[in-house]
This record gives sequence, structure tokens and C-alpha cells, in this order.
Amino acid sequence: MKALLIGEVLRGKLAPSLYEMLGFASQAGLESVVLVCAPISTNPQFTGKLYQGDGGEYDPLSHKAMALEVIAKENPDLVVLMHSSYGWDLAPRLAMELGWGQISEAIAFDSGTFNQVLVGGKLRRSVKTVSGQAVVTLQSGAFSEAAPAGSPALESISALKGAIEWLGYVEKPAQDLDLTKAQKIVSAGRGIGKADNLGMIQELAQVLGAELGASRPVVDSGWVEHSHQVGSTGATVTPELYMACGISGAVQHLAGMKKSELIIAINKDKDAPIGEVAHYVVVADLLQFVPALTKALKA
Amino acid sequence: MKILVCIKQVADLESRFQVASGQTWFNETDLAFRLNEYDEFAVEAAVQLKEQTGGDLTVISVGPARASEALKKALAMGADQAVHVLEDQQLESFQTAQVIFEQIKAQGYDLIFTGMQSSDKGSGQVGLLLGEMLKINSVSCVVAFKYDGRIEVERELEGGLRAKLKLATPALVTCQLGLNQPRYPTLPNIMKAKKKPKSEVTSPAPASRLQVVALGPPPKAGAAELIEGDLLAQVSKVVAILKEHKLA
Ligand SMILES: Cc1cc2nc3c(=O)[nH]c(=O)nc-3n(C[C@H](O)[C@H](O)[C@H](O)COP(=O)(O)OP(=O)(O)OC[C@H]3O[C@@H](n4cnc5c(N)ncnc54)[C@H](O)[C@@H]3O)c2cc1C
Repeated sequence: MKALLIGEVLRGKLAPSLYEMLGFASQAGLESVVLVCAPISTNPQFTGKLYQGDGGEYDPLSHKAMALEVIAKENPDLVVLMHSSYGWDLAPRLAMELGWGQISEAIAFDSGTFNQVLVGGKLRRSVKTVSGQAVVTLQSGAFSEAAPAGSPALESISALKGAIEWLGYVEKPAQDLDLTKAQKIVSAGRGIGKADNLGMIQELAQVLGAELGASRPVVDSGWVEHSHQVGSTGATVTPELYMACGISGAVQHLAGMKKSELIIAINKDKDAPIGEVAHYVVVADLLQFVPALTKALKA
Repeated sequence: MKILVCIKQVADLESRFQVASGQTWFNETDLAFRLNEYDEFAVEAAVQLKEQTGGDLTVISVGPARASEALKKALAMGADQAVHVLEDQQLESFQTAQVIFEQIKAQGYDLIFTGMQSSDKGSGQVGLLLGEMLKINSVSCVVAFKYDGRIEVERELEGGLRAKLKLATPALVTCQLGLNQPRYPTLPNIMKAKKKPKSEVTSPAPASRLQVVALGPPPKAGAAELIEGDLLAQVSKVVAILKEHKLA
């Protein structure tokens, strides 16, 4: 069996997640062919064929066309991408054109079936496609990386021009706070209920000498600045202490904090998926627990 | 301008989920359902565009009878009419997209909004599949949207970076959290929504391309220690843990 792995390019660099896809392919015993649709500064190290395209970094029409060209030549059984902004955008376009089923955000692979997370982490299912051929996107960090080794045989393909005009990258504004340097973080989630309750989280952070972190809804609601956001579209942090107050533990949040040394969650739902990475879950109403803890720490 | 927004009603994630007898979905009795969070941003974006251009906005949902509540909410937020494709089965993304496509292919919508994913399955496929079926431009995970004859959007990438893009209509965009501040339906608008046209239709779904082999709770391995019980006991336990780790 053969897999086409589609690597992603950001500012002229190949994303290291290609090695996760290579790791998956070797775990699954698949031969790998790699496609990279835009020019890259350094080639990846693996044994197999590397198709190098000369497209822009995001141009779905042209990337789809390049992928279809390679698929026609190589006849893979699986097309693999990361479940990232690049991968989840391109994958359904390919699935549609190929008439294949798509399995989104796989977290594991076992004898022909893929595992996926449902309802925010409270259930898991294993699925396969009816035809056996599939477009699959992999959850970031779920598969161990292959060690870089070997040099691929190069083949180039050329891009056509798509209909979407690329105006450039937009940087996040310069930020005063660098959460990645914090040794302790106390984070507020949607469970705080309203902006007024941020004060009690800040107070707890203060007595602990911690920085204030937040989940995405707290940022999206405008309660705190984006520089406080932890997760795949915020900061990736590894403090000695991470306290998650009223945070359910969605995979995008976990991606940013699961490597923290000690994780204490405060949640009224004892089944909240944050329990998968937390060391302790205090099952309580945070509106009562947080002020009581602050008071005890001050004493 | 003809605008469409596609929405889904989903189970509230704070529920307890039990696997239903068929082993492919969960038991829906006693669960609370709501409009998918991502779709709230899609409805808001569609309503704002309708207000800006004086267009006509249709909302469509594929789902069982309960999904009419989600449609009512979208009408109360400002959609002009609703189409409910009654479907009791739990469809996979490709099936849902195909059912919507069959309903709308002859309508010539200029702009279609969907959520970037549903919070129950998180596949992120329906919007993009629909765009491909219609053979129109589509962009996923939009966090900024402007219309001035063409559309200008910002797509969210990882770690705070975005990409700015411009494209012509007809087009489809899938909306990410934080795109706007979804409005709350006001009481007068809820009343008005009751009089807006709603149609219920049925449409056969194509065969699924996926086969669910098993469904169950996540493995408990490595699960956290729960600290339950009396508040003060919980507080002392956490203080003790913090002291033990020299963090307090
Ligand atoms: C592409 C993409 C990128 C994303 N990036 C990020 C990211 O970088 N960071 C991020 O955080 N999210 C991100 N998200 C969003 C993510 O999927 C979740 O929606 C989000 O993390 C949920 O935030 P939350 O846990 O605060 O809220 P919810 O999921 O609503 O959870 C609230 C929790 O609070 C608990 N609670 C409620 N009231 C109380 C109370 N009184 N006392 C105690 N507990 C209470 C509830 O039991 C629940 O567990 C992203 C999503 C997508 C699709």
C-alpha cells in the first residue's frame, strides 16, 4: 500500500509535521511519496520520491491540481495531510475530486481503522472508508515523528494559477506578554461566566506569582488580549504550574498546555476532557473555589 | 444579492454522553441541543452582509425535527427564510454536503456561509465539499470578512498568524470562532421570526463513504486524580499539592 503525504510550506520552509506523517506511514507499513506544492529552502530527509511544486503557499485550486496530477501518476491508497489550516482546507477538495471518503483529525491507526475524537473529547470512534481508499488528516502531535534519514528522489511539477488572490501574511501585533516564558500560569476559560469574574482569576494568579492565561472564547469575547491565549492558535506553554479554571480541554487548547509540569483543573464537570492531561481535577464551582483558594494562600 | 447560511444543531458538550445501541452515535434522549457555536459566527456574518447589501438571506439545516430550534434562532438573528431538510439519520459530512447541494444548486447564491466545523464531530468538511460541488471559490477558517464587490478575508493559520486573500463571488466561506460578535436575538425579533417563511423538505441522502466500526468513551489511562467533596477540604488539598511542588 502507498500513501501520498502532502507537506505544508510556511514562508519558504517545510513544516516539520511532515515527519509526523512519515511516522504514521511507517507505523502503518505504507510506502511514502511526498508532495510539497511550494518551493522550500531545505529538502526533507526520507527515502522515497519527492514531488516539488512551484506554486504559492496557499492556493487551493492549484494545490489540488498538483495533488491530482501526482495521484494519477502514483496511484496511492491514502492521501495524508495534517489537520491544520493547510490540511483541513485541501483535504475535502481532494476527497471530492477523487470520490473518496475523508477521515478528519485521526489520532491513531490500528489494523485498517482510524480513531477520531467526538463531542470535544468525551467519545471516541474508529472508522474506515467503505472503499478502502481515503483522504486522512492527522491530529497534530498524535503520531510519533519519523527520524530524518535518507534523501528523496526529486521530481518537479508546475502549478497553474488559481482564482484566489494572495495579499500576504498578517502578523499578530507585537505583544508585551510572552506567556511561553511564564513559570506559572493561571488560565480562565468560558466557565468563568462573565468578564466581571476575571478579577478573581487575576487575584489567584497574583498570589501565586503567575501570569494570566485564557482559552479562546475568553479572548474572542474581548475579555482579555490575544497575548493571553493558550492553544494551537495562541501560545504553546510549558510552565511548572498550569491551573485551568473553567476550561473544558478541547484539543486545540490541550495542544498549547499539555506539556506543563503540573496541571490542576477546576471544573464542575468531572468528565471534562481536561482530565485527560490534568494531574488533578478539582470538581467544584470555580466561583466558590477560586476565591477560597486565594484566601487560603494569602493566609 | 442572494445569501445562504448553512447551520447545524448539535448536542451541548457539557452533557454526559452514552453510546446508543447501534454503536455508531450517542443516545440523544435527555440531552440539550443548541446551534453549533461556529455557525453562530456564520449567521452573524451573513446577517451583517445582508444589512450591508440589502440582500436576501436563507438559512438551511439538515437534521431531525429538533433542528427547527436552531433555524428559529437564525431567523430571529435576521435570516429571511428557513429551509429544513428533515433527516433523522446521523449523516457523514459528504452526505450532508450532497443533500444541501441538491437543495440549492439551482438557486444561484452569491455568497454562502458555513461554520468551519461542527463542535460534535469537528470534521470541517461540509462547507468545503459544498463549495467544490458547486464549483465556486471557497476559503476556510475565516476570522475577518469584508465585501466591496469582491470579498476580502483573513484566514487563520496557526500560532496567531493569518493570511489575507481576495476573491470574486460566487464564493463560500467557512467561519471561525471570533469572526464577529454574534448578536442575541431580541424578543421582538423572536416574535417576528415566527412569521417568517419556513419550509420543510425531505431529500434522499447518498450512501455514506465512511463506516463506523466502534464508538466508546476515551481510555481512562493517565486520567487525573479527582478532588471532590467539601470546599474547604478541596482547598487544603490543593494548597498541600502546591506546597509539595514548592509552588506556593
Ligand atoms: C482551528 C481552531 C483553533 C482553536 N484554537 C484554540 C486555542 O488556541 N485555544 C483555545 O483555548 N481554544 C481554541 N479553539 C477553540 C476550542 O475548540 C474550544 O472551543 C475552546 O478551547 C473552549 O474553551 P473553554 O474550555 O474555555 O470553553 P468551554 O468548552 O465552553 O468549557 C467551559 C468549561 O467550564 C466548565 N464550567 C462552567 N461553569 C463552571 C463553574 N462555575 N465552575 C467550574 N467550571 C465551570 C464547564 O464544565 C466546561 O468544561 C480552537 C478551535 C479551532 C477550531
